Amino acid sequence: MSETLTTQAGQTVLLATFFVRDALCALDAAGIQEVIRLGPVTSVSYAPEEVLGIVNLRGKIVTIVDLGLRLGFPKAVAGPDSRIFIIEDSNEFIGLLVDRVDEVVELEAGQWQPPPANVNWGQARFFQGVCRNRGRVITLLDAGQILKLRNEE
Amino acid sequence: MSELNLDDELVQDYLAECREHLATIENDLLAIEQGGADIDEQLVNRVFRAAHSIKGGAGFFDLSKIRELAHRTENALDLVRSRQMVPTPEAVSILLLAFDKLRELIGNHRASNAADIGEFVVALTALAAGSLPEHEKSSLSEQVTVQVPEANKGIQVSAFDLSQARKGGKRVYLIEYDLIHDIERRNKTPWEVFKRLIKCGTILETVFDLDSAGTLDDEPSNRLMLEVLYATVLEPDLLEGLVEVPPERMRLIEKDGNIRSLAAPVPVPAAEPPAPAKPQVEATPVTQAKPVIATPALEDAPKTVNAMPVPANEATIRLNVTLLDSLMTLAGELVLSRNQLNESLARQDDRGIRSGAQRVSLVTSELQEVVTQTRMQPVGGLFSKFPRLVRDLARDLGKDAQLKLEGGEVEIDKTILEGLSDPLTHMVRNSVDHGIEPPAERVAAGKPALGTVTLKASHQAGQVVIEISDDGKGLAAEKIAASSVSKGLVTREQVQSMSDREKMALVFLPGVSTAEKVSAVSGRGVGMDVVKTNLDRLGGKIEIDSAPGQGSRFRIKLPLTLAIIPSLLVSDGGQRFAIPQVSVGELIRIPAAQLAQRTDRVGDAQILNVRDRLVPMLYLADALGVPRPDSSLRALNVVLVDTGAFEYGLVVEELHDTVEIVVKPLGRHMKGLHDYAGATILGDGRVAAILDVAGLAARANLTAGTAETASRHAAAETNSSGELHSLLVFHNAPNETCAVPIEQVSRIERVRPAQVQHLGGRRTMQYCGSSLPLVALHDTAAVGELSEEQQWVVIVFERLGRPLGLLAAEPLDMLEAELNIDAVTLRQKGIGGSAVLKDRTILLLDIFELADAARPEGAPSELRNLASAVASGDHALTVLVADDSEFFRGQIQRLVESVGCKVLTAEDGEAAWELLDHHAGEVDLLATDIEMPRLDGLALTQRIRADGRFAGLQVIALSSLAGEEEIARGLAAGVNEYQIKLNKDELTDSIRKAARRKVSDPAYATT
Repeated sequence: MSETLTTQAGQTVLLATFFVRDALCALDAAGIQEVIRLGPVTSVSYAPEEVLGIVNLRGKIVTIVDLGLRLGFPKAVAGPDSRIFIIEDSNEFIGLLVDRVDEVVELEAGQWQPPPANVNWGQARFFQGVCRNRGRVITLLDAGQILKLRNEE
Repeated sequence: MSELNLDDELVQDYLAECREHLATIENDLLAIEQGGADIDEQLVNRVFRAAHSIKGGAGFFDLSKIRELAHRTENALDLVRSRQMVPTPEAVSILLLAFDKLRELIGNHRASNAADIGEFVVALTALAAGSLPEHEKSSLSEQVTVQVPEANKGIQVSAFDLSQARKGGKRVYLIEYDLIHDIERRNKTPWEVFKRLIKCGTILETVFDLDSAGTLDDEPSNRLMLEVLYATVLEPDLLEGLVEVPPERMRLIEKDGNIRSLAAPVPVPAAEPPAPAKPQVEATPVTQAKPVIATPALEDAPKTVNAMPVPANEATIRLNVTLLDSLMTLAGELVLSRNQLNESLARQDDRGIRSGAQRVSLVTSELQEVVTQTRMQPVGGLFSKFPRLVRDLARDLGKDAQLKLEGGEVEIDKTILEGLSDPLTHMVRNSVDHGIEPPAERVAAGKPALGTVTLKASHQAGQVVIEISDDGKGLAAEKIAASSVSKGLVTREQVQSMSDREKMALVFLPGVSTAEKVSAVSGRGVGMDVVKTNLDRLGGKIEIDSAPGQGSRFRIKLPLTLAIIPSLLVSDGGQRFAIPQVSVGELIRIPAAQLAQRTDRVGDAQILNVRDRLVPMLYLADALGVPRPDSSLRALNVVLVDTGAFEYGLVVEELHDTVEIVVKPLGRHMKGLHDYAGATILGDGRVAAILDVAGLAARANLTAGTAETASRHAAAETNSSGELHSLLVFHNAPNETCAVPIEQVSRIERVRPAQVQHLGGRRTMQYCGSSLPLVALHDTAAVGELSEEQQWVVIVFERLGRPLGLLAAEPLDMLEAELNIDAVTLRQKGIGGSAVLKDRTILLLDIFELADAARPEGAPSELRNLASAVASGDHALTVLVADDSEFFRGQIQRLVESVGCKVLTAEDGEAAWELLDHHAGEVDLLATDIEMPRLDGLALTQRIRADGRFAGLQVIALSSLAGEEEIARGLAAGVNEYQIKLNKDELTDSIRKAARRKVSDPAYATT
């Protein structure tokens, strides 16, 4: 499975948590380059549905992906709390649009459990696991899976 | 050699130089081959020198196999130079192959010492042996040892080399360099010293005297000796100046093998003939503007040879020092400008900030230009590999072909140049293989046996254009199309609507080949698609032009540089897009008023008339699948773009500037989208997509075929029997398109539904201070009603001197079209007929019928009186209506009948004449169309006027378009009146007059 989960028990990982619609999700903080606000987006016709468009990040063209849409939620409505998580993958910068940033938490790898069996709607493939943290359930997302193109899945 | 700690940079330097030499050698050899026995000494010398310099360096760097091979080629070339050997094609082939091997060895110099060069050595030795006199042959394999004094070793050198070296009055010296004192300490590099030597003579052999370095056990000797066996025409005293070593380390080796130190005075050997004045010193190769022209050597043709630098290897690039200097200067200026800007910002000095910004922008553009220049390389370097290719290929295929090169000095970005190599190779190969016919076939076709392939580079509007043309058999469009269909790449239907040019462009589809036979060279159907893909990647466009039997021409348009390209900015739906200038032909703005005139619709396709060329139009919004901006009644901005295969008009909402943009790739999610060529960041930091016009066209299913079909349909419409009519087109209910002849319309007013008043069951509106009666089409005809959502208009007609309004809806359009009017299918009261225009069915309204039906009391009583008058008894008028349009004939007939006349109809002038001839005394009035087949209205009139029987016949010419000139011609032909067609009032007026005349003088018609 994923690198994060195979980390030896006892080791901790830093996770950036955020909300996608009303679900509390997390990504490995090490993979996140930076978090930016949503600026003017240039839309691209015929791009995959989840692609919101492209933006300029200090001279680089960044593809913005509506994370919620990718996970199977309805289309995002950009608000004042909307943020973009910039992730570098294969020499390319991709921005994941989230609805609200929560915090950075430190968790032990061993605390993770596989996603519950009743997770449906094709979302399970994006989930690395779930865990409880201070009474809340955090879903750890698999960035690699999210960034995969549909025809690669 | 690592123990000598030779700088790796030095090796790189040497290798780069070898590549340069090899690049020129090939063309030089080809030129030598063409010269045959009549050798151009300078040319041979140059190749010789190149081979020699490769050998020299190889010896120095201990690249033994390279050295050996270079040495063998040198020997052979030396024989050519001394006219002991004729450079036959066979000999040149061996040399070319040897140099190929050399190139291979140099490409992988580390492994070169393990390479097998046996076959080349044998071939070259045999070549040399074959041209040597018997007694000298043995010298090829004989080795002589030159003993180095004060060192217990000798230098092995072949007797042949030694004797060749002495030819031409040269002397052979043994020079001892101390690498440490003579070279290192003087801040020189061994390679520099070598080059110096090579310029003035020949290095026969170099040997490191490793023993001189001593062993660890010895006292440090601080010496590292290099023995060089050197042949030159220089006299001993001149040599000293060249080699810069103390005279005691220079020795002359005399013919008899004696070695004499130059420290002692040397008597000039009497036996030696004086040195011939050979041009020994030659400038280092520089790019010559004149490229090689590989024509069969005319005796007096100047044998120019180019020595173009080969595109250097990937990592390094050779740069002119002046260029570097200007870069430094600019960088300095940039710093100054920045300081100025900072200072002004601190002082908040607006003027200073402005001027600072201006300076920065100036320096930046200059900097950009210079930096771009550093990447520029002449295409000649790339071109120079093709003469060989053509030569070899032609030989293999049994064809006669030559390659002409033009414009080798044109410079282009290094990256593009490198990317161009494969596509060009492929295309040149294709030209020879597919294009040029076998000699017999060429002669039979009346062409010279020698085929010509031309490779030409030129600058055109900020782009580089490379043309590959041949005078061969041309591309068979049909064959390509058939091949594509049989491979299932396109359908037969698609092919049918394609132009020849587009059929030819099918070769760019994967798997299409035109070669009937698969040869070793081509015909396997891979290649042209790769060519296209490669060129696309370089931002290039390719066009094909070909005439069967006369040859074909491929034009490649390339941007000067890849990273920064000039582009046109446009916007649509609030987003901006960049279109690379390379694809933009021209910009056209069509004012709303001219829209109907300049554009046409064929089926679904809208086409644009550009100086009598019909090009398909594509709305950017449609292509991108976004709603079209509301642009009705606004001017259209059209960018005429060229996909390579065809051009089309891209309709955009707004045009902006042309700017230089930096191309950035789109992310993986957009990889498969051919609509875009990338993205760029604009001045305001926002991102704009760069459009790929070919991809957009493909998205919209726009092909050259569409354009062709469009123009064909348009032509067909023009050729149809219909006559040119000016129509006002408007809507009734949203999906009902109606039209009236424009002549009937006095004016058009916009109106809100609320302005329409309903009084006494009638509709009226306030208009110019009085009430305007209004009618609607659905009052009379079974059609839909106007809805309140539509933009209403009132079309005002003149009815017996009084205005009458027809309620209609936008959009309005004015068009001139040739109509085939169907007066039967949709005929009903108020609708005179229908016509199909641009795939829409248009109802042609009979406005008077409408008016009269809606307001029967509106029919003038006078007219009814007239009707009863003319209808009563024998005084009934007979009117002959001649019109080739069934609709208009019917209209006029009904109109004339409505006033009680008898009507005869004829569909053309000839038929009218027959009727007249038949009913000579019966016809009182002729209402004739002008434009008719067989016999037109004017000719008919002339015939009537020439016949005494019809002296009293009133002739009314009816035309939809009446210019003064036409009216004059009509009157000259004998027409009594010239009327606008379908002007009921005018016509009834004329009938009334004719009737009065008939009543007052019943005999007039028959006299």
